[in-house]
Amino acid sequence: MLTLLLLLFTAAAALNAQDERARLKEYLNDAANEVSITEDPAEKREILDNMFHDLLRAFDVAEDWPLFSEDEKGAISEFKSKVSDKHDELNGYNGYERVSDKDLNAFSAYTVQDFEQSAEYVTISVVALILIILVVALLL
Amino acid sequence: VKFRLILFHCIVFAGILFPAEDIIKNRVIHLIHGDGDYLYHENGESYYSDEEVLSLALENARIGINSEYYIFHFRPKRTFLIFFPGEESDFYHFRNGKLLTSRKYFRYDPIDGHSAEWSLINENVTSDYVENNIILYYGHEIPLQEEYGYNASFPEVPFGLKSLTGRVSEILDALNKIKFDLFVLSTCSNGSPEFIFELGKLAEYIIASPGDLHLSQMNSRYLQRLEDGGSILMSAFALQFASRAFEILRTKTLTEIAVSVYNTKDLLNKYNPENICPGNTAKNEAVTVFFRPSRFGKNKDRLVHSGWNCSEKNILSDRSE
Repeated sequence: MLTLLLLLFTAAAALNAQDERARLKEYLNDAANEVSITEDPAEKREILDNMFHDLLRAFDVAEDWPLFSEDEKGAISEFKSKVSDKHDELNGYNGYERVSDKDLNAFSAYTVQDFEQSAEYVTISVVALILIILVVALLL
Repeated sequence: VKFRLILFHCIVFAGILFPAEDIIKNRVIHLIHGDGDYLYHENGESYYSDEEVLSLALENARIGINSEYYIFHFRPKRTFLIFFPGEESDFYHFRNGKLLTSRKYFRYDPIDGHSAEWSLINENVTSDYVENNIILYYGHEIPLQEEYGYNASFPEVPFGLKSLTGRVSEILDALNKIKFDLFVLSTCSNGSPEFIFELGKLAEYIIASPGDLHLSQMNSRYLQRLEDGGSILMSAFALQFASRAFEILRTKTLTEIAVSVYNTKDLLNKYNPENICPGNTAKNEAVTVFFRPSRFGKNKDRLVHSGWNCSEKNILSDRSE
């Protein structure tokens, strides 16, 4: 049932693909703005951590989506890997030096810039992107 | 006294025939791709990359008292009364700082077998000798092979290196030129051997990025220095343009920045694309790179950059086999 609903939403959203692409960027930017106006470093860290978790769950759904080609799944995996790296760096996992409290604002701005300019964002299919946005929206 | 009088009349007559404002030293072509996702954020504010680039191009053109500007803005498809296609792209032509033409046009509507850009330049170009011919392309990374989907509203039209060189060759033909003096390629990752050697047939110097490039793009304000008077040494001008663009990116971003200047004459004479990567043999003399590592991420401690994009997807398949 969820699959059918997502399929219908995805088809409807694809009609306005450019706006849907912008939504993910706005979502990331909103999170970065929230980080910058929050004073407590622990809260800043939580906002970023939650954002990465939501994105990673959305990428998991997209990766398992049966209708995507192998090429599309490859592009989704590359993008997911980028999110995963950011999550690891924030928390100091997998060999990364943990982002210090004083650098959290800069790290959130860097995350927005890195996603917006990344080749993975540009090349990922619109349908995959819309699916990710929809799952993120459902999680919020 | 008679000689002075004759000289005076000659100067006045020459002034009438060849008014000073008609002298064109520089010709600048802007190709601005806006048919895609160009939204970015800076300090929380939203910007559209193509609109920002266009705004500065128009400012440069208005200041360009010694220059001629042809500005093409490739915009998304549009229709009127739902079904009828409308001219979607914008064309601006400035000479000596004055706007002579501003109109919409169909960018995928060849006229007499030529591209729309060829026709628009051909209609307006004069036979003046121009010292400096510069072309700038702003957009997303251009695929090495022809691919569908580059244009969001014309996904059925393939685009890649071959299409780009075809369009640029047509523009050169309309200008009656063989090469541009400088080609600014403000896209992600197109500073690869395959790309630069191919574009090097069409330009003496190329500025491009071998990595991701922030969507605020390579700033073109330095073009205003073309109006300073005196002759331009293009090798120095290209380095200064790249240096200024790099500095502006450096202050705005936290991501990695690499902006390379390629001397294509040296490259084409002395090297093949095959021997650039991974040995980077051309790094020293034919390529200058401005590099700053990212503030975070895996490569934050990287100190140097070869100036080349050597990733496998940037090698033509017949070479990689």
